[in-house]
Amino acid sequence: MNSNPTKRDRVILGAVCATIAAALLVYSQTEAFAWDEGFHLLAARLILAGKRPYADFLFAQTPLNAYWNALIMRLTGVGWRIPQAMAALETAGAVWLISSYVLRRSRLPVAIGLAFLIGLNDVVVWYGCIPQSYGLCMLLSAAAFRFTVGERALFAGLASGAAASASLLAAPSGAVLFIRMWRRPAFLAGALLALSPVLWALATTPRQFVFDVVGFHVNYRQVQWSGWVAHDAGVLTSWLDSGTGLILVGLAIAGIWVGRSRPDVRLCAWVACVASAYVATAHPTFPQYFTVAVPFAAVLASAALEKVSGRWPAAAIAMLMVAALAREIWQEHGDFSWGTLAPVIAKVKQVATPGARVLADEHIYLMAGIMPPEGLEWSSGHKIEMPLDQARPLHVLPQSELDKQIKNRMFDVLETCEESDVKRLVLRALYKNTEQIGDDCFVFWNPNRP
Amino acid sequence: MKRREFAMVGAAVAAITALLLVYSQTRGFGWDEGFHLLAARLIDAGKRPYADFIFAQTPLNALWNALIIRVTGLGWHGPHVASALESAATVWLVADFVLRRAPVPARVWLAIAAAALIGLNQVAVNYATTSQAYGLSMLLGVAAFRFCLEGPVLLAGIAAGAAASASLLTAPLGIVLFLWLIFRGGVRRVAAYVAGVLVGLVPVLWYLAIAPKQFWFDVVGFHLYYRQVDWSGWFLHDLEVLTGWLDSGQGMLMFVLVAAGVVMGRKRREIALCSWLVAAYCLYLSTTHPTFAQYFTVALPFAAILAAGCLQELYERYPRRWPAALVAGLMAAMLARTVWQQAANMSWANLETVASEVRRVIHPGDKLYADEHIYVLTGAMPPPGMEWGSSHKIAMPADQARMYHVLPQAELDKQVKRGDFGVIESCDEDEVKRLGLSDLYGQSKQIGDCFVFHELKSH
Repeated sequence: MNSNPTKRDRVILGAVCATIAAALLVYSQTEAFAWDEGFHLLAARLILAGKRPYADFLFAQTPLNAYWNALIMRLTGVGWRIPQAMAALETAGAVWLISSYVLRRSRLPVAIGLAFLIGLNDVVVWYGCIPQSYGLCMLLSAAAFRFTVGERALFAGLASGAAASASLLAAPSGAVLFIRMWRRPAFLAGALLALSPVLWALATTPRQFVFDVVGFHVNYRQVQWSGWVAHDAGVLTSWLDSGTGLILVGLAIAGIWVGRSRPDVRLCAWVACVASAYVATAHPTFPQYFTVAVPFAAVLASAALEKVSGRWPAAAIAMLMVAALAREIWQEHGDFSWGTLAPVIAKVKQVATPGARVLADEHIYLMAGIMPPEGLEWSSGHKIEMPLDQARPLHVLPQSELDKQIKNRMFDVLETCEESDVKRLVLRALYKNTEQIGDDCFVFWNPNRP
Repeated sequence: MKRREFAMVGAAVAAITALLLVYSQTRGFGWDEGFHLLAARLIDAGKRPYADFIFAQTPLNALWNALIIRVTGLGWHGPHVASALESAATVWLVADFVLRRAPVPARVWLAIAAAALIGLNQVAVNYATTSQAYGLSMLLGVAAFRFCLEGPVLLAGIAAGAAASASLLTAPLGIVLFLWLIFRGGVRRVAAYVAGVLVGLVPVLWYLAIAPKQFWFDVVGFHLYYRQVDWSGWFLHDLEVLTGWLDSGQGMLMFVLVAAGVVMGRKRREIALCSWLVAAYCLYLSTTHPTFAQYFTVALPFAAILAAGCLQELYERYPRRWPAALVAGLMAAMLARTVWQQAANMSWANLETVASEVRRVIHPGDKLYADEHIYVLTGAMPPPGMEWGSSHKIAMPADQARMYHVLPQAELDKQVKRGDFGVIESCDEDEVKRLGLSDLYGQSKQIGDCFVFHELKSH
């Protein structure tokens, strides 16, 4: 174990991590976009306006990331740019925590290779630069791991609990670390402290919290996903058809084998396997969910890389990762982004008079500065079909009820990026004015009221 | 060499052969194989490539397919079986080569890994089981390589010449082996090799002699002057193809193993020759604008030998057999995933339904406008100039076009609008709209992505 890396090594690794952070920051401000980030940002906006998740609106996530984004917005203003910049920095922080750990155990080339391996992994870049909880979870999980191997139980518990408070996807990692630290009550104390946002919500709005965070995922997640088995099989095997995915998974598996006598490798193997197994059971699952296992997979990969002497393997990995990411960004360039939504936001702002009732995607509410009507805070919540008396206390607006409101022309302005909805609801017949913006989005205003 | 080792590698190659055969008879399909099969059909009917119809390939594969069709009857099943067996034979030649040269304790798994790297490569499985020249080119290429190293070099020359006669994609093979023999062999060996190449090139030389102008235009002129027509975005397309391995599990695995094999095994003679072959192929194939992933299958046997070289060097440093077994397992898993994901792609089964509809609606004496596959499946002979759909993009004066058996798109459009065709079949919806076929014909049927039009309105 190289427990005392030289200052030169630390500076070089710091420079590499800073370069990766800069790349992630640039990406977060230009190309980074995921459709689901809309409701995360809107939740933060609602919190900022004094609303409480679960109690006042449907929110199927644990709350810490939404509070964190709300704090960022409180300090820097409503918008997507600073939350995305923060997410990029959180991801870069995770890269630094893991690669600096590897530097303490191994050699500089291994640490650098590893920083590139995780920092430029395409799924990490796509989803670690948006204000969903992936960046925060990776950072907190990496911190929890380092505190655990450093036997700092209180901080390990705090970081694990905070990760689970940011996303339930990170809960299994915390559970494994808890088992590793079970003789240390401080871990449990820290975890409980960090879980206080979750425990508070559970105490104040137990019914809504359990429905949103558990019931929705158990009972409604697969609704409108009839092909989830094939979808999940495709996701779970996608690393086989991804050059960079293959390198990370291949090195991690090799690392488990060659480093099996090392306690930190055994710990990471357990965490990575348990977290991956848990995420694989989230039907439908998605590649980005597996980012919570990336810090641990990275430590495993480092055990394999350590066995290869010389600098060229690390240099080759760095070059391959740069080339593969450049190709991915080039190929994805022109896809849907915040830039695509800018003219849609402008149009909605132009046609929505003060007090107008607006039906829109979450991103549009956020950027147009419009508060969503009750039940419209999360569009995926509409797939929950239940009697209205049950739906009301849960802040659910079922699709059938929403369709009725649309057909009764209850919305002064309607924005959608789903062409199938435009056809299904015959929206052109319901509104006097329509504008298609780009290939995918439509704004309707001036309803044909009788 | 122990019999048991041969049996184990033989069993692996037999399993790959069975898989290739099954794939060739079920999913094996490449759009471009239509004109290869149609060319074979025309040769079988007594026509001569270049002299009687345009054919922008060297002739051996078409002649070979014509022979197969003569024996097995008109259709795609026989040529597909032949291609699958050619690919399987390539797999065997490479596996056997590795088996004979690798260190004893690991050689079985190294040979199996090499076999998997070719026989389970998704691009090779997709394309080298069709009636295009990929299977034959791989087989002749690896035969030339082995004869060059193991003798007799006359046969190396014949195989290299025959490979170039089957597809111009293999042209670098003959040149690299020639240079290798100049530096590593004596004058006699070089002379024997050159004599062999000339023998292998007999089909090319024959057609060059009987139709020099047409041969030159088809095989060289078309690729120099007309290949990029209708491909305005070829530069980005090529960049995407050339970097495609970065976004493919098999591509990345192969690249890493090949690059490491070149570095780690550079002192070994066969690795050095394979390195030159792969480098020459990659350079040459990346200059054919537009290029395609399947072109690189001709370099695959040599890449597999380099990859096995890497695994061998790894074994010498870290004597475990599992890395080679893991490579074989990964190749199988990756192929299974790709085949599953591509299950809904177009296949011959889709086109057979279209061909049935064409057969049902066509009247004796009707002139048929169709994709090449449909001519093959229905047994109809294409009208002059319709033997290769891509040739319509060659715009040239009528007297020149006639000499080269070219029907420019403008002239074809006129014929369509004049109502020269009793039945039109097309799987190109843009073309259907552009020509306004729904207005020209009274009856139409859409089958998947394809359309069949008949009953001209003016009639």
